[in-house]
Amino acid sequence: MLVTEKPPTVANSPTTNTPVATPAAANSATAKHGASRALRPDRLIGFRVDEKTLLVIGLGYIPAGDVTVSVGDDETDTRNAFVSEWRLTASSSRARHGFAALLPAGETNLAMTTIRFGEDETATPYIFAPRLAPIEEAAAIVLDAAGSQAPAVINRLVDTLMAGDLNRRRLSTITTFLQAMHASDGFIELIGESHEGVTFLQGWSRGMAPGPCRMSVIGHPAPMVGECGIATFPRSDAPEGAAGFVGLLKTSDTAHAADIEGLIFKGRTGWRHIAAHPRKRISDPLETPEHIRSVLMRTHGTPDVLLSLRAAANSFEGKETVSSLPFPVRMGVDSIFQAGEGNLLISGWLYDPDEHVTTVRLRRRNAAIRLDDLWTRFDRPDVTDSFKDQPHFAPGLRGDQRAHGFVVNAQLPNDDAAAAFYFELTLQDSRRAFLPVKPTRLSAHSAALRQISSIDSANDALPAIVDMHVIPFLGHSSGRSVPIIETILDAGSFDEEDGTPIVIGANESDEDIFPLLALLALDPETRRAPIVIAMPAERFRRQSARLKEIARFYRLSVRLVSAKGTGDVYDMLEAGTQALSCDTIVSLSASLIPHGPGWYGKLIATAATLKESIISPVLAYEDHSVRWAGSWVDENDDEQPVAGRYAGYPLKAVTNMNITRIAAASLECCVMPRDALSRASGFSGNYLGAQEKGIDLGLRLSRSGFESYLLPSVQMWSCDDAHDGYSPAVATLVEEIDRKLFRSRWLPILAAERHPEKRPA
Amino acid sequence: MNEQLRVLVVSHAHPSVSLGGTEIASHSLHLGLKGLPNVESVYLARIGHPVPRHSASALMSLRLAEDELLFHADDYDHFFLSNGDTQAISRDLLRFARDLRPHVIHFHHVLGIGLEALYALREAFPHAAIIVTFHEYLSICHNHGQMVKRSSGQLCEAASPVACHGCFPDIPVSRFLKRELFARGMLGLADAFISPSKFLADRYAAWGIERDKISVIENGIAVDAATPAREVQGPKPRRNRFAYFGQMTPFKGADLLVDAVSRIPKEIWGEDSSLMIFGGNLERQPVEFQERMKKLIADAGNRVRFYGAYQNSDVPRLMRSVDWVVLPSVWWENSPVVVQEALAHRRPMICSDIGGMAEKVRDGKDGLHFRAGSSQDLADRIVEVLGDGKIWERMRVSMREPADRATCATEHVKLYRTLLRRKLDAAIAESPRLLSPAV
Repeated sequence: MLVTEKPPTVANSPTTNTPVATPAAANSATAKHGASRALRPDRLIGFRVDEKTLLVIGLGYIPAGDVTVSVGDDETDTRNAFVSEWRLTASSSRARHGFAALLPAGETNLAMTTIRFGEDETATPYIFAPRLAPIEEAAAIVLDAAGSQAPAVINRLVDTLMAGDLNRRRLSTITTFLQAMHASDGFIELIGESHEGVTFLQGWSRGMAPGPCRMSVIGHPAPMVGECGIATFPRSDAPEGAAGFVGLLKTSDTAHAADIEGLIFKGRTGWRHIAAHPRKRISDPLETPEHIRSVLMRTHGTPDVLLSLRAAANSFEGKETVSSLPFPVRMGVDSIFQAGEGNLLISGWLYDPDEHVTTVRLRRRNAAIRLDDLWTRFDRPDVTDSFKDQPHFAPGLRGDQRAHGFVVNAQLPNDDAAAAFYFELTLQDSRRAFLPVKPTRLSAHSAALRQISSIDSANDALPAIVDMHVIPFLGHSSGRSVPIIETILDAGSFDEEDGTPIVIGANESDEDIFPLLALLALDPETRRAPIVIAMPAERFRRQSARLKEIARFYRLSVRLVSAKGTGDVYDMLEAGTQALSCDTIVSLSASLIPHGPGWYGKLIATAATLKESIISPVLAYEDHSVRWAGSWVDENDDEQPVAGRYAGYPLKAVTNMNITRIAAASLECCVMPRDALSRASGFSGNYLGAQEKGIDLGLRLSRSGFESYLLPSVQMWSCDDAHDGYSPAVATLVEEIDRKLFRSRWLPILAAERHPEKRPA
Repeated sequence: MNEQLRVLVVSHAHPSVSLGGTEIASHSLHLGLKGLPNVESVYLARIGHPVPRHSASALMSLRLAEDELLFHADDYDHFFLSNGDTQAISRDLLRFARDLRPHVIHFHHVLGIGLEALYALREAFPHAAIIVTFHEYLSICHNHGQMVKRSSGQLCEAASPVACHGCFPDIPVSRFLKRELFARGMLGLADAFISPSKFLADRYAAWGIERDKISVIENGIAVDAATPAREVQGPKPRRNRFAYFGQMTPFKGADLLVDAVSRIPKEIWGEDSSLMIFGGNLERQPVEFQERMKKLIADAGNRVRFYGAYQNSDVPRLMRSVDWVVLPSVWWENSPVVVQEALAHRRPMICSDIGGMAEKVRDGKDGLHFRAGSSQDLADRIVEVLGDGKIWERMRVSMREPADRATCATEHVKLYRTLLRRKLDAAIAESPRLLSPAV
């Protein structure tokens, strides 16, 4: 019978266990034939052990142990060999002893040569023929010639080989020897993978002894050596003298179960080889603990080994086990967001008033990250309330700590996208409990917004949560928000060659776009311009019919573009530029209104004289004060390294200025090369709001070969954005977060550059 | 140039359906124009819910005269003065207008029919003279076009997006900015603007309409014969019959008037003085105001009689029992029809000292002013006239004549022809080929 008794996960897969039939026995006949090539005095038979090592067998007495040999006539070629010798079972007049020696192969060109053992120049040279025999013959010869001493001889040879450089070939040689000697020592019947860095082995064996054992793993692409803690248990179906064994093999790199073909170890009576049964079972990490548990009770082993088996049996099996703990320990996860690969933002609560839990980790396969030294905790009165009436959960004498909640940003990358995430709680008594979780994939932007919106703005821990978790979470994300165009619909004939297209970006919040279109129709310069309107898909569905009709009524040439998902006005502008292939465009946020006719012509005329530039007009509030008149680098202000110099000034203070170089133009309205956005790698997706996002891109454009200019003779009316439906508290947080992100990204760069755009006098 | 002039008068409502002064004024103009030689006029009024629209077209009639037509429009955005049914404008309005081939298109209000109608007609008739008459401040003020602050009832001197947001905190500043620019931009398509009062004209000029595009033309009124003065009897007859004519909206101040009357000491009011209130649409007003009016009227006892709605055609008859006409409006007013009517029937007025009222009613000549919003001051004025036996007669003599319908129409035609001449000259200057026999 193959495999262990009882575990329900194991299907019945009967197979014959053939303890007696061995490869060596089958080969013994061949060996006998080959024995004709056998030992003659003065001659050595050579065998290759591996690339660098040879085995030679000969007749005669050579002292055992390390011997210096000289090869060939050249007396300078001396090597160290290891010799194992025996008395011949069938001694003859020619010789009474035989020996086997391991020596370095030296050059590969093995011409017929002589080998002398020992330092005595008068020692008899042996002739060494270059044709090497198969290693199986070596085993057979030794068995034949050494008889009962063969095991000891071979053991000594294997001792030496195992101590040296283990490579695949050498291990294969050793395997052959061992197999020749001992037939099968047993089989590995079950290999259990785990996430704990150990591999569980189960089978039967004669040679294994309970306790730690060093093993070499055969079959792995690169040979591995590891420690294996062995425990044994009685098995009625094991052959005479054999017992069942279980072990936890720990190698420096995790061995893949499928690669394990066998093991070499030193047992009670010498070196042994144990093969993985051809019909071995491999159990998944989630199944292995069950297997271990099914035999654990019956095993004998050292306390250390039993403890480690017990711990392995307590590993994650895919199920939640926190709620069945016999302690007042409970855990809940409110949200777990994943942005990109393994960048996580988690919030939840851990109720543990009596402090049973020593560590909390988040795990995925073999990877783990400790959370309890990273997280920020805060009060959760709702959790306290829900437990206070439950008799077994009321806090002990240590009183109730209310900070049950936690938020943490953790990085846990892993290649396997399908592997489950789970929390691992380790308790004082070293048992572990698990809570599987499924992260929600979101952009860092959306996840961060949801997180900050879900926390009460009056919460004391909020600043720490923002600084230590939300901002780093945003910082870790690759942060490129690429808008995806869903639909393009032309209202009437649209030809982007008819003029420089005006790309209007309309996000969700700004509903009334028709007044802007009417004003564009009233302006003789813009009424002929091709107009692109880009908006989120939801809005497109609602409004495309109406917009088409408006375009028809005003005889405007309009291309409607719908972009997937939600996005801010910048995402929409970017989507709009992607729907065109011309050289230059004029961007216009739908929340802006032209100050009067003539703006378009002036922008385009200016662009014609300044190639590869981005030129923006002044943005004015309706009360005739400046909202934005250029972004400038302020070297002295670390709080706000890039600021709007003239913000708030009366409009007249700037309208007579000449065209001016600035650090960053405003993408809300500008004329620019159409591909500028993509050449500067587009908008960063990390910012939560629009302001820093725009300045960030503006600065990057300046560093991608585009000059930025302010054209004060042109103005646009604008108002501050509505807060997109956020509460004022969240809006404030958004601003603060964006400022910090912006500073952390740009202060170093600006300091390094000491940008020449100083504040104007 | 005396060829046949074709005028299309566009009104936001038809007086047979709706009671306001604007409808009366625009319809009166139409009738006046019709009466002039060489002038053809067609009157197009907007109609909407609950009157059902025909499926064939937005145009319809309701059995009106053949030169009067209705245009059904319900998809109207009050905030932006915008008609969402641009299809109906393109299809039905333009079709009709093209058949009519008007020389002049004269808008009274764009309410209901939308600024888009102005745009469409401008585009279809580049050589026509397009005029807009302002009757109130709707293009400037979202609070019913009254320029009165919503929360406090204070008078508003100047609109701005942030000030308007103050009256309507739920509507963001950006929306008011768009409203202003959209309205002014579209209105700018007109060739000229008319205001019945200088006061209103000044307000629009301050808002941004080019001042030299605005003309002030008094609304005309057609009155068959002035109603004779009320017969008085007795040894010391007093001119003590006061009347209020107008809709019962809170802006018109009827509540203020009733309150003022209640304050007058009994010995001064006497036994046979009375206040008559002629006014409809009380049931359409906010509930609080309705309650307030009812209470005030009840408390005033037999001093006040509430007669409900009336038709314009009733006014001559109603004037028979009236000595003084009171206009207690708390908003600026532009050119209330009742002023023209009072002038026509020679009934002196007592009115608030603001806006169009103060302009049209010369203090001491056409009537008396009182401090707007003050029922005490109004009470004082009433006490004055009750105590002064001569004032009524004096005013009857000094009151001016109102503009009559025909004169008003003639003035309009003069303006129309001037505009057309100017446009023709400009078009010829641009392309001399146009100097060929008329279209």
